[in-house]
Amino acid sequence: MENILEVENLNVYYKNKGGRNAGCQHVLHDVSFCMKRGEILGLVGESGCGKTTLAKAILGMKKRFDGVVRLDCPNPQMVFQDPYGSLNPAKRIGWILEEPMRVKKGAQGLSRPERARRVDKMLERVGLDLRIKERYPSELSGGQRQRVAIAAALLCDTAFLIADEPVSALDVTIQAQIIQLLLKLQRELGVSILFISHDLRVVYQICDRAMIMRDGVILEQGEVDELYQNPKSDYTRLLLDAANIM
Amino acid sequence: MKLLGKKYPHNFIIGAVITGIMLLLIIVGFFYTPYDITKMDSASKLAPPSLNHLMGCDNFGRDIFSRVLKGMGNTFVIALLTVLIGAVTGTVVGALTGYFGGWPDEILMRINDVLFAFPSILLALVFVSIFGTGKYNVVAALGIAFIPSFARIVRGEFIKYREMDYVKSARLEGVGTLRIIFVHILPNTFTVLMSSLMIGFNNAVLAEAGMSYLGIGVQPPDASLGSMLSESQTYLLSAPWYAIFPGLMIILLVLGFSLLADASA
Amino acid sequence: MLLEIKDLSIEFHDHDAPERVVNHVSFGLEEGEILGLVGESGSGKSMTAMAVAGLLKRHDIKKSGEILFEGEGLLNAPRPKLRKYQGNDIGIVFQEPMSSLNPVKKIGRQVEESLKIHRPDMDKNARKKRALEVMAEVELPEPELIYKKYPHELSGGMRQRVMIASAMICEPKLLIADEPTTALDVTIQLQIVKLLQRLNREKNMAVLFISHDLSLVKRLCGRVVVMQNGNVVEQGGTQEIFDNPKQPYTRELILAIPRPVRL
Repeated sequence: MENILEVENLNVYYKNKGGRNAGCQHVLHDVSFCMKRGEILGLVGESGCGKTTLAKAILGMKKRFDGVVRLDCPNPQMVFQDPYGSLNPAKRIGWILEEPMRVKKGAQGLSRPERARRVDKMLERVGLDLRIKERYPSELSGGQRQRVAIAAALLCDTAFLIADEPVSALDVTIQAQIIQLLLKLQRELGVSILFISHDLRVVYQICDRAMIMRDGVILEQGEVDELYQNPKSDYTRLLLDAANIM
Repeated sequence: MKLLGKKYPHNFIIGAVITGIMLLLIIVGFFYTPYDITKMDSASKLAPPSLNHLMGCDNFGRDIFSRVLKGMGNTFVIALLTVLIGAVTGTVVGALTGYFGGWPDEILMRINDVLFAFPSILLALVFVSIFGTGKYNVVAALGIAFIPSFARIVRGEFIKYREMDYVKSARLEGVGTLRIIFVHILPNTFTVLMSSLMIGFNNAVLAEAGMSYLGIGVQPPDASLGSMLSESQTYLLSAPWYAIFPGLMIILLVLGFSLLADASA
Repeated sequence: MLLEIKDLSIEFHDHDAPERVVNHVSFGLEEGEILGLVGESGSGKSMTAMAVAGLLKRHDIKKSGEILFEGEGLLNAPRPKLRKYQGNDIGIVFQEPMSSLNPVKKIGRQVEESLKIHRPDMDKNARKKRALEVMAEVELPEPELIYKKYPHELSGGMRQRVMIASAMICEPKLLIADEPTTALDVTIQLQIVKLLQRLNREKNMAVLFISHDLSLVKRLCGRVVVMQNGNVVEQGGTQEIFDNPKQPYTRELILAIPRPVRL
């Protein structure tokens, strides 16, 4: 299969709080798109537009939805926006990074030295000093934490990653570094990344194709150059204006 | 103050010293007492403190110092077991209900609320009146009465942590549910749990003293700090040392742990 | 000069070794000016702003230098004197609009808060009238409705407008905006920036705009102060600094602005 992810007519409803008769909220409307293997696909929209719901549906964290989600990758991973919350505050970085390998059972299980070797290799790959293994998440900067989160995701041997606003909580200079890192990982390891952001500029830097989403509807999708030069929807134009480049 | 290269607050040092001395006395009391605690000596009935009897003697002429040593051990063991039962059960209940939520959570928490509404002493009294008096019945009774407070604390922590992104990513990494509960979340609740353990221990010491004071805890001729206080009240004016020393020991025991709890929170 | 900061240093003494977070910082702000204070987290920009707002009154913080607001020294002024300025002549808006609003109080009461302290002669109805006026000024739709709502019922952008409204209710001469847009979507960021611009023009209110994002600063501020590790590295006219950055760090910050360039 050439596509790693195919989504067809996805509809998601949330039950309103307040008992049986409170009704439902329709958060995703007929979302359809494909993602090629090894591609970085952008998903742009403001908070509350359904970006995170879509991510959850793809990862199987949302059980109830209508439509088809075909993901051709065994253990998809996610990198979250807030690097403070995405690492266990009570554990050292080394422990956190080994955990996905430690919980594998049977034939897939790895010996202790092999796990340590893989952790070291991955730390090098994401540009972190090996001494960081002894530290706790609270002792790291936001950028370092985000690198650790990316390393942990990749140590699950995955080929598909959802990055949910991975740079929004970081300083601009650090943002650029994390974006460079994601690009490098895509080139070296061939991971496919669904890159979620509210900032069209950032999406332009890293993605070939992008989708614009508003109120649970995909307004348009296509090559980022095309989106920039011929925005079809008013909302895309608004985003471009906010991005200061029209 | 600096110790072993680490900086400790004064409260911690004072608490540690008091608790250390108390623990030492308790351990000594298990193996050695100056006099047999049941040996009566009619010649020294209600004798005031002297070199022979450091804390004086009681109405049967028994050595109070020896009885305090032994009684502290009893009180300590009862309090410790009580807190352990309450903390372990409470933690498991709180962890499971907090993590899973839903109707089991609702039911267990309503039961918890009911238990919480009664003072733990009253609850233990009911238990003892059903199952009879004695050291281990008191432990069981108090232990059950202590479950709700621990369950509630741990549940709150779990509700906070289960929504955090690191738990979601652990789930994506393929970590099993039980491992998430006990390896990924539980250690994060230890700081809160530790201080409530210390406070719980204090409450247990006081509760045991209270129950023995009412005559349903440790049975004579065995001693506990509470039962000694209870026996001493008739002689409060004629032999104040009889009440003062067991009372002082309760205060020191509670104070030491309170200071430790304060510093570790 | 509305605000003058002279040789400000701030040291924390809450750990074994004292930590200097602001190091001999000097800059000034004219009446009605919008000044950008730029730097990454840990550069000391927020600490400088907190000191101006009189929010660094702690026994384990050592401060030296001078902060003059209309010629009055604020840095080591006693609390009652500071309180006369806080929320009255100096308004503050923080980064996180959720945690800077009290979740259990209605929006209206929080917007009015400063009036109760600084305009004790106003009665309830006058306060409400004034609150609705300010809420309309910051372009909150249907102020009457929002007046009765709770913070969690509003979106991030609306909450930030509420914060601005409550900071502006006493018509301050200076508004300190500490990363007011960082937690918001880009489209909302733009709206907030435009709002600040308009308020500055109409009310002649000076704004100290703190941000790590130079692109917003470029849009909003006439002058900019760049901070790094507690030091001022560079200051001057925004256009000038963008055209001709003198320090490598400034250049780095300008380069970090996300722009539509394929990496």
